[in-house]
Amino acid sequence: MNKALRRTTLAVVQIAVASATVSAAKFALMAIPNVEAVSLLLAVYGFVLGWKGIAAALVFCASETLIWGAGTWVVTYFMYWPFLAGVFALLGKTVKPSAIIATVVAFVMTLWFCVLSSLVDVGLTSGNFENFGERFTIYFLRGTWFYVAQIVCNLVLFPLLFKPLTSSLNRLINKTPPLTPPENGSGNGI
Amino acid sequence: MKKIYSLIAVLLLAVLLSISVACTDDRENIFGENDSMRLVIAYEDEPEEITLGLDGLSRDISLIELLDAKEITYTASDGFLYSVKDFAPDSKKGEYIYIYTSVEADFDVSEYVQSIEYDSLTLKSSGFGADEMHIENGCIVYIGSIQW
Repeated sequence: MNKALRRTTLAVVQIAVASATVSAAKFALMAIPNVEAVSLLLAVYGFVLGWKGIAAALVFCASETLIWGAGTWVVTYFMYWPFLAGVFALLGKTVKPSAIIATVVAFVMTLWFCVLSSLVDVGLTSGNFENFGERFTIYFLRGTWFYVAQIVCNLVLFPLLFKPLTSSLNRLINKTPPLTPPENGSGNGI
Repeated sequence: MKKIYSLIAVLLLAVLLSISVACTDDRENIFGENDSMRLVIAYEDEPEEITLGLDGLSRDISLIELLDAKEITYTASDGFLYSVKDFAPDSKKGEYIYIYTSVEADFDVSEYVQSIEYDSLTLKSSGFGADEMHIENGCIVYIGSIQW
């Protein structure tokens, strides 16, 4: 297998595995409202895999739509999850893995998710902008406890798991066989 | 540059796939050509029975949405009907609209359930507001009144 094809195959596999694990995590915690590991996993994938983390977020959004059907949340998902992975991809290029920085960014991003989902829901379902501010405020406040649950969840998960997961993923990627076969051509059969 | 192209390709694929889901054929959830229901308005002199065709309407339609779709005039607030066409019980005398239905899912299951006979069928008072009542092919919805 030539170098370019091998690199492409590796990217496709990494994106597929990343999006599959995000979907699996979503299903595993689905029974508990707004307690989720999607933020953490996409942050880790964005940080370590870069653009492939963003691609994994896009695949995750598409597969969620295929599973659950269309709704206003689809717009929120496509606006938010790739953006989250993108923010962490930028962080991955600029800073070393840090639980504190990751937690602060995750806190801000989760807060933004809460605002964004209310903005999209109120904007798309009520159809006009009359009294938008009042209706948005009511809608947003109605979901307060769900947002608090999601923010607390990420404030617990990020300090505990962001750094170990990025380290493990980095180790795993470094263990992947090199892109060029050994000189003697024995390779690994790919 | 190749990474950006790859990302744009994944983005396009994901968005197009999601849009295709939004365009899913939902005809199974639509009433058929010959589906209909009967709406009975219990005027004091003689009840008026109106047969409403349901062709093309969603099976998830509520009574209020059906009245809207069939352009039958009514007044309502929070799912509570005050008048339908010219039938408007006088609330000052303690008279209010009371809805009976043949749709079992909507039967009032409380101890206050009322029932009436119409066209050899037993209709029961609805446990739901008009904005949540279900419509089925062949069902009867009877708009009556009650004195409190």
